[in-house]
Amino acid sequence: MGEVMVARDQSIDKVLDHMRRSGIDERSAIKKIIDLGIRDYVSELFKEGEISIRDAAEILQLDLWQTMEILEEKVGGNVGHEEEMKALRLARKLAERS
Amino acid sequence: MAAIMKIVMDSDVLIKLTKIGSKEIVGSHLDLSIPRKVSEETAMSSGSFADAKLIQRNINEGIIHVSESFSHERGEVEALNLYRSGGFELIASDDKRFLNFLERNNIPFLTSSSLLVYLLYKNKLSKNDTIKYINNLRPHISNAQYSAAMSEVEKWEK
Repeated sequence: MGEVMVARDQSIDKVLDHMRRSGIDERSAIKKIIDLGIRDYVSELFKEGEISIRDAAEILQLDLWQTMEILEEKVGGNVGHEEEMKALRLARKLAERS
Repeated sequence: MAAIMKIVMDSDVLIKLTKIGSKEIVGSHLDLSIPRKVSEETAMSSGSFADAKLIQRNINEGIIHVSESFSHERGEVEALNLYRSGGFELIASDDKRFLNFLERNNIPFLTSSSLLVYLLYKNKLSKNDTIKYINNLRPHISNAQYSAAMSEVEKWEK
């Protein structure tokens, strides 16, 4: 696993101070901030349809249930109006056929 | 008697319908099949979730059929392979990326909410129950999906 050097700006310092007061050591705090950022980024990619649920699960290294819980909390689902309307039209067509 | 529609269900729809307690009613009116990989993702690898155990029970009871596959690919690829093996009307998924792929390849699809609306159209679900289930789905789906499905249900007159 590689290491990354990041310049600390004021907002990072403030968040780290806050976490330190909560009893979280600096290394764990930085890891936590990065994890939260990754979750947000993956959720946005999922929302835009750039990645699938399984892609998200692979990146987050979680199972599908855990991944769905995170994605639902962050962005809900990602089916757009157009896709849903296509599905609804098919549902009606199939129901009328039989 | 009309034949029951056979569909391939992907993991996300299976999980959502399980969470909102509508899987049994959907399973009683549709022939649900999942590839082995989807069963592993939903029922086997998530033992800590009570809903995962429920899916396993549905599989054991024959409400959901698990199809064996000879490949070990990702769930959506296996779902696609199962659909292409023949006899299925469509694939059910709530994953935009997968749905766009299905659209480009002219493969019919439904979503979790449109499956419920299909049962409404077929008079297998009452309007009130359909509204209840789609409201239960709301935390699990996008606003666009929710609004489109609910608008369709509200317009529906038997």
